Amino acid sequence: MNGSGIFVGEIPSNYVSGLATTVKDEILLHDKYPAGEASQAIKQLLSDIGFGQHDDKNPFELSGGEQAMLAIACGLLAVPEKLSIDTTLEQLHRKWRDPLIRLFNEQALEKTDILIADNRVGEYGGSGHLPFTDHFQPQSGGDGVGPGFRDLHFAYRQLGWKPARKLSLNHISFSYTRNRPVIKDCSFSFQAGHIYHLTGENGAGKSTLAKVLSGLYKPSSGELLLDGLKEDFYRYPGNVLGYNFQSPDDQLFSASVRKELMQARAVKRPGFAALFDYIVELFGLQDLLDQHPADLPFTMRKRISIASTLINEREWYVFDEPTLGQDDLNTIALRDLMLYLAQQGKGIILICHSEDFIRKFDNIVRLTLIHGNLVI
Amino acid sequence: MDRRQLHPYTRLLLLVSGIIGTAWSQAPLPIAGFEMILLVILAVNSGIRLIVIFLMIVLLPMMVMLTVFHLFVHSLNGPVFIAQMLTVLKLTVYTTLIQIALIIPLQYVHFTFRKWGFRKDSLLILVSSYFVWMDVVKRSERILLARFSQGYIEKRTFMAKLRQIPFLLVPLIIGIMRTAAERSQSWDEKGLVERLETVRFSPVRGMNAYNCIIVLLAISWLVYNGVLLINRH
Repeated sequence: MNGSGIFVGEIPSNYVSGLATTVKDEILLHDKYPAGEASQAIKQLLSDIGFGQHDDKNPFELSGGEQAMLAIACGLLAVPEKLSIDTTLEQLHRKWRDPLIRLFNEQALEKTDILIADNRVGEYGGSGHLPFTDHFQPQSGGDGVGPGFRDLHFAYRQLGWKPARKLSLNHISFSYTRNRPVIKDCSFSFQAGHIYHLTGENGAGKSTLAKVLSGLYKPSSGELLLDGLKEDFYRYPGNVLGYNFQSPDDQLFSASVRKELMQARAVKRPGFAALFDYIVELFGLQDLLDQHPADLPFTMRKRISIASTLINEREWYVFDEPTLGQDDLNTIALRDLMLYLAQQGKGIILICHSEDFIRKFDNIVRLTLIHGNLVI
Repeated sequence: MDRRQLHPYTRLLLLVSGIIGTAWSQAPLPIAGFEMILLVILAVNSGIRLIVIFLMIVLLPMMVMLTVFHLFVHSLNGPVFIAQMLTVLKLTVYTTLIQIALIIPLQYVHFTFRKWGFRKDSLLILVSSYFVWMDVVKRSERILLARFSQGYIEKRTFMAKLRQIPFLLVPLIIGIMRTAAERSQSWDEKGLVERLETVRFSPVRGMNAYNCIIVLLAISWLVYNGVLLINRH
């Protein structure tokens, strides 16, 4: 047993060893006592949830949720005295998260103390899987998302506010490798002024679909339409739809928060200064403008990434797990922000595993991705 | 199991015998012939594409530069040219040998270095230095995607992508270093330095016809040049 504990943090890809070419080898590398009870229990769990289908995949090619599962499983396989899981469970679909949390409480893992640092832990405890948890309620010290949203509309109008047009998928398919489509012949029309919840199990292709919609990936077949007219999103990426990545580390690459926000396309237009000031105030970034985003805590990086998405005014926004690491105050503020944008004619597509957050919306259209098919 | 894979011992023998044999050799023609055989081995191991790149980027410029330089200074038949040609040929053979020895498919990197006798930190450093390339590729894609998603690049064209290179380098290097620091701490916590010594990833089977031919070639090249060297003295 290792003397010290193991930490699995918010960005699961950083906790993949980077020393194995396949998931199978990654598991083999961490499996300290292959015949041990803990190892058997974890491998059984991975098999039960169907994780075995990823055995021959490169760990870096897994989705965010799959990497989160792999990172936690590998942490457990190393049989440490303590395993700290920070905001990683939030990224798991409940079909994976619930059996994993049940496993935490089983005899097989008694040698490992598990510490969960997670704003959604109440949500997991609510389902009765964490009766053993010593539940700490941290003192509220964080800054909520700032003022109201009236001025956001005003600031956007200075730049020429554009209400969203109807966004349609017409028989869209996408595959990373030949003959293995992730998205299969999806057709759907997203109406402006609505909030859509795109759900599905980990690795179902939610983020991939969002990236196709943003023009980051080129669909293998099919077309994207705006108000019924064909539009080449791939050639003009990020023009219509702003994509807020699941991991802020996939989005923030500038040397300071200020530079990150100043990279907006509208930076030279007259109304931009007002929008910049407003966004900075809205997300409470006044004191952080000259800091390197990587030096800030994950929760703050996530907020900066949302701010940098919003500073580029778009017709549509995709928020991929926007509540990651955010406390209740911030999640409510995020909900209000999304509702406000939708009321003002923008379109919102939300990818989120937190059912508590989704329940905060009265009218939300749920779309489920099952085996690459979009089910309404 | 890929039958065209070189066993670590085969790689090492070819590298050592190849370098020593070539260093002993004084005749351009056998060296050129040996280089041709090495290029075939490289093509079998790594694919013809790599050979073409190698020829275009390394071999051809070296030859052209030498010839141009020589045309200015000496006559083409002079002994200086022969000596220079010999040096260039030897350098080319060394480069090809190093490529054959060190271009290792990622799944066999761990096995190869362990067979070469590397242990503990040195094994971890070598293995991770191979795997870091995977991180570089993924991270570059992520930075580019981030820039596209934020609309910084209005139109996806080849030139637009090319213009992104300066914006790519700094966050790429900083990101890799930060991740490396985080990852190494995680290795330490998980005791992966010790695990890497005992874990058995995919092995390479050595006793097949392909490996035997290369072992024979390496030994023959060494013996042939050794005999010539003794005769010269």
